[in-house]
Amino acid sequence: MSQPTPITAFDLAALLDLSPGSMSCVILDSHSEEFIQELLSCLDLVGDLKASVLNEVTESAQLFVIALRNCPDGLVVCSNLNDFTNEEFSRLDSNRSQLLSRHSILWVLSSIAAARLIESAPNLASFIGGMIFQGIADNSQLSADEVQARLELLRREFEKTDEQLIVEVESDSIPLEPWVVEWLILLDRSDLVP
Amino acid sequence: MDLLSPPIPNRKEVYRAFLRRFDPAETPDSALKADLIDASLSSGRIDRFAAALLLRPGSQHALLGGIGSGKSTELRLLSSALMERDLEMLPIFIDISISVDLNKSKPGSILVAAALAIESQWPGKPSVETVKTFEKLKKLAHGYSEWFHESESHQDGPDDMFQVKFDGLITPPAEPIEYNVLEISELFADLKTSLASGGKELVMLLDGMDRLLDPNKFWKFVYQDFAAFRKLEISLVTAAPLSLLHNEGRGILDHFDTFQLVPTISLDEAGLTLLRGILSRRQAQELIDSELYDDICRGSGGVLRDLISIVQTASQNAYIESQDHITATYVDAAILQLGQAYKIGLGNTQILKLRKLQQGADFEPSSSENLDLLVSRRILHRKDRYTVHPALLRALEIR
Repeated sequence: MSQPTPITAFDLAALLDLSPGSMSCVILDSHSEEFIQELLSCLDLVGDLKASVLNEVTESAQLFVIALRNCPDGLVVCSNLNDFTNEEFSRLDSNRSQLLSRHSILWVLSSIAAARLIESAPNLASFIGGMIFQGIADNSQLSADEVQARLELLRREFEKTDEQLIVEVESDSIPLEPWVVEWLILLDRSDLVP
Repeated sequence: MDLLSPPIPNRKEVYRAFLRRFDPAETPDSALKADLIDASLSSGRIDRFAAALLLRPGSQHALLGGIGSGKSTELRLLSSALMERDLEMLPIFIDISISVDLNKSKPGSILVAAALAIESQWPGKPSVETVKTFEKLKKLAHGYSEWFHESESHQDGPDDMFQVKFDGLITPPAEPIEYNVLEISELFADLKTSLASGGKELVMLLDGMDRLLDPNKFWKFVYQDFAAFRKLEISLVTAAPLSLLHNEGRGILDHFDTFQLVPTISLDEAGLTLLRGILSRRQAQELIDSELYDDICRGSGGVLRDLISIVQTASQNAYIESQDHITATYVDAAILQLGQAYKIGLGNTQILKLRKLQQGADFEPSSSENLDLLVSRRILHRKDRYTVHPALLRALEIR
């Protein structure tokens, strides 16, 4: 049977940067701390989306909503709701209008907590839609051969050499889209990403 | 730079602009402002509500529908229609769930939140008496403190005074609250009289009430707040959850003069034409070949928010993979991704039930488990039958 779509921290950062201020998605990840740190680094690379993290365990929906209200506009990464009961998710659900008014929210949940959210917060789940992913390790963990294979694919796909890409980036004649940033990282030239 | 070469398109800006038109979290207000809403989808229901409100002042009506079916948008459209048609009504739209924690608030809180919503939409400058009425309502809503003397014989010094705190009805509730629906009703009556002298009849449009999925919780407010509105002869139209159509919810519906259902859009040719129209209005053709529209429409099951959600997911995935257009691969993957989300949390019994329904077994939302499948949109109610959401069918690999 099919599983949630896998996504790297880099791709997720690009995706969040694409829809600032209006998105809600779920990441299922058992190593959430590492994933979140990697995501925050990648967000700095791909754009200027400001992110806050709520990671202190919250016991009630009411306290969570208050904590969320105190976060600055932008993305809020919430990794503190794994212990929420069905009842608390249900309370969050009825406050859905307040949740999505100023922030994009990334819910980092265990698969069990995600199931509780889907079951008990159908209004919230409706806004999340298909945006539920399984977090996976990023390209930084690719082997040397895998890096070369990916670089070759990028060269072929965009019909450029590494040198041409670097010249274009240095002359500001190419927008820093995710594939450009990824290419530079694979070349170990992330210094060119502002 | 070679001047003959075409300018490098900024893919991010193209996709961002596209996604602003396909944002499931967009408020009805901003969607209406951006002209993304096709009002003809709901014109029949709006006309019927407007006629009922005009002919029966003080009547109460419910707008039922599944999650993401467009109830909030229809209430906004109704508000605009009542204003534009010059029916001498003052429609007051309020998303109750923004100012009231419906799970913790007590009866009376809908009434007071509705009264306070009138303040910001008051025509012209309110009189001194009206200002005082709003001040009293705010005290009831948010709570207040007063100082009292311990005894009447010692009224001089502050030392013998004690403070009594009167909790409010709304704001993030923490403790059980005392309330007085009658007191709020009397204040509301003052507001109504002031407005009537200006030739305007008050109509309350209550959004957010559909978050109360449990009919028993919904009943708590119908029993007190809506009864007070009725006594005040203030008309209202409220959003209501689909669960009111079934089991004990039916009894609650009897307390409304009329109700109308926002249905799931059918997937026959007429329904597909409507759904394609929604995609075209939002200019999906900028990135999606119109030949793929029917795949998107069918994958959505006729649920408006899922239609938007599939396009959102497909476009995000195409962007991540540096594509200039959203091809069939991305549409297909987005439908599967939506289905996978619907699949999360389903137990074996539920999956078996879905399989049997797909094979032609009967389904009735008589048990709470079955009703949950309906409310969560895993099962969709069509005119004469129930069907499994097509995206979930994909994820369950049911043919």
